[in-house]
Amino acid sequence: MNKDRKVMYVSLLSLVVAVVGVSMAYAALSTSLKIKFGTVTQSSFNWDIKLNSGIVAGVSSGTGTTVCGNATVTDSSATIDSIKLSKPGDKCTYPLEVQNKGDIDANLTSITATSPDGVACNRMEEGKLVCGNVVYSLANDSAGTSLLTSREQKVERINGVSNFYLVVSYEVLPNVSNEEVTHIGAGFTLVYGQD
Amino acid sequence: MSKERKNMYISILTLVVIVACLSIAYAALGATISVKFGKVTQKPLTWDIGFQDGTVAGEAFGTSSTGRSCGNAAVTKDSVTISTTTLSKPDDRCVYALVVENFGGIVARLGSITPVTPNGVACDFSVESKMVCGNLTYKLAQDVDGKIALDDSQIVGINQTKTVYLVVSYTGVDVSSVPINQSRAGFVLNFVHA
Repeated sequence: MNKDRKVMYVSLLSLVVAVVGVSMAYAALSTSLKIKFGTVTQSSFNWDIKLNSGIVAGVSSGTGTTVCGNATVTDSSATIDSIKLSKPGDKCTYPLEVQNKGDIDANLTSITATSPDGVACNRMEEGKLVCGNVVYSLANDSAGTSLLTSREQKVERINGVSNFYLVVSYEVLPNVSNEEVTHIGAGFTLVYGQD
Repeated sequence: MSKERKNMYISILTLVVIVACLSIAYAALGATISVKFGKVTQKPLTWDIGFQDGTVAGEAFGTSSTGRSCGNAAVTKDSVTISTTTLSKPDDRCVYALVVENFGGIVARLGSITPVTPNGVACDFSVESKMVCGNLTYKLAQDVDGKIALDDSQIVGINQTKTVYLVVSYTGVDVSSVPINQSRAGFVLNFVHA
């Protein structure tokens, strides 16, 4: 083997040894850190939206002859007794409260109105039903001027509450009825979903 | 089945299961609240406007210390009758505050005022709510001083009241040595739907 080739082989060997040596040294500069969990439990969430139940007295305004029946409120419903409105301006107002006892923020996702039996009503706005001279409203205020709107009534999780008002009023509209009018079966359905 | 295809099928199945579970979980997040009315009765509108009844004492003004007396006004829902009133010299006057109330369900407006002259006396009418009959002036006004005449723009809202002042005053400059009587002077107020 001539001298040059011998030198080359020695150089290559040295290089290999050096690389291996560096690799080994590098390998020695590494430490593995291990993290290990014990038991991880994801609890199931709790969804719990309901009305504050009880008997709610209607608040009357207008003339002294306005009669506002009580509202019987359960977790998922409010049923109102008889109402009598005598003159334009007469009104019955019911304060209701929605509670969120669950773990997830909720919001009102839709409002559906039900017209009284056999009565044609106009529903120009989501939380308002106009049936002749009688107007049924869901509102943020007791005056009934700020109507409830879907996606704008958030009920925060873990004991959050949201108040709204059910308002029935005798309004003077262009076409005035000079006869006694009776409505049965009017109502609203509110659906709450995750915010 | 090849191993790769087997793994693919397992992956797809797992994905389907996960999506189904998510869907089921999401669908459960809804709550429905129902509001239902019982019977709602709307009474018919009524037209009902008139005076608040009772006895109204006349309020006397002027400088007479004697010779001036303001008879009481007996008020029913649709009429006012004033008993004998005596005014003795210029600036004497008697003022009666009469309250009109809208008891009904329709807004009312004073449609017209019709003066009724005293028996056998010629009167001047500059405005419908003012009648000058010799030395005496009969007036319907919006204020106790009698300076703002009542007009037919007056609105009485539902369950609202409006005070009308009936003023009889000695406005002439002449005095008389004998009493001058005027009987049955008055006004008719006609209210209409606004």
